[in-house]
Amino acid sequence: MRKINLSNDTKRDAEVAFGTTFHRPTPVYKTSDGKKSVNERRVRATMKTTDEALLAQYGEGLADALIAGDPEVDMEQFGLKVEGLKKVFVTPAQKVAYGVTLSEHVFLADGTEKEVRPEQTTSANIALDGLPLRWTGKLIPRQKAMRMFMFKKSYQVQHVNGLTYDFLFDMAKKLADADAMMLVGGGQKGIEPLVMANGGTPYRAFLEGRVDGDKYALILRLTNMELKSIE
Amino acid sequence: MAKELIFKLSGAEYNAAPVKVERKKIYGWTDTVATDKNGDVCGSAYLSPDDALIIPSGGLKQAVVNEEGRWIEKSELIAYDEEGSKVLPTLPSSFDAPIELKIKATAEEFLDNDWESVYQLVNPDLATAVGDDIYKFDFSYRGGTNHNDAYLVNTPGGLFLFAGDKQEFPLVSLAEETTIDDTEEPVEEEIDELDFSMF
Repeated sequence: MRKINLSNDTKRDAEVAFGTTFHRPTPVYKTSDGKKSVNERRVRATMKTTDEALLAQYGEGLADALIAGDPEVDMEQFGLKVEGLKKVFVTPAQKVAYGVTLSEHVFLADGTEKEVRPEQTTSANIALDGLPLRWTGKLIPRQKAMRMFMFKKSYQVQHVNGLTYDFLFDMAKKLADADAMMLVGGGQKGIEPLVMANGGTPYRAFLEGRVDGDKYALILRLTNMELKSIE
Repeated sequence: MAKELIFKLSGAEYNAAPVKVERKKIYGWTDTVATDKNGDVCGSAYLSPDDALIIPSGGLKQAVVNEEGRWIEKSELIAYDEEGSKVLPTLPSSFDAPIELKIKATAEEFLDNDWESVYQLVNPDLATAVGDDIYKFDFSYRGGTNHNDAYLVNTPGGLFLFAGDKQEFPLVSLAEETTIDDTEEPVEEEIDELDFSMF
């Protein structure tokens, strides 16, 4: 399990563990004689067979060339098994581009462009020294939260020793008794969304607790989408 | 006309066409654009490990081959479970027959899932009939071997169908302490735009 630095309602913090054992089963495909099939990435087009390259080569005669032969197929490379590919950018002249500048074009839901800005990156903020995730005090009834947000990912938060058992059990009990979820936040002010890994998506996060006798489950639920009408 | 699901609840039938809910439809989206030193917009492509071949975006295809590397049509394949020992049943699409809403689920049952898809359903009569209850049923959009647990939930934003797979969150005792390993979680998706006004 991975490390997460979490604080409670009295601003005491501890490094505890979180993770999931969830695994979506993937079917195995076999032929009728019981042999396994294999998925492979194969080449189906090269820079010689892009629309731009074919138009540049044949111009107005492209339709005739397509009827007469197979210029859209690179016979030397088509079907080649490829592994270990690197993602690159190519110039309009179809050469590898170096020293590119990345910008982000932000669009509203209706498709209008809102702004252009330099590329933004994200850094993980869930296990920073001296910056525990904050128990914000903002409780949302569980019935309300589950009808407000689409929880995209959920993780179990678990103790790593006796002290952290008490710490997490107490959190889970408070949440279970309130039948509510607690908003947790990151950063200096404890209001930033959580980023689980460098370059990852920022999520709003809630803690949910369950208790039965001396057992508990503390669940970290992540969301980046409200349940809003799209019609 | 969009395909409609038919739900049967308390003797009545309700039709509704599911519309997939995506972030971009609610908050918009971000496209990353690369420009070269001349300010020209660059396309994306793949470069082979020996730097000999540039493959344009869309120039790769996932192929299914046999152990000898020969192409196989997907229709020739039989789906087995993950261990490769049991043939998976082929189920009809949920669009093929009415869905009986008979099983009510608890909030915990609903929450403890990893969602594959969420759809909005617009039918005010169905929303009224569902009320504050949560209904659980088997769901397969296309039919075949892939099917999910699905839940019908009424929200202030409308009626939604959640399709996913059960995720376990066991209660743990003092003795069940765990350990931390510092493996970095792989980034599964592109960074996208977030609307922080959601709170």
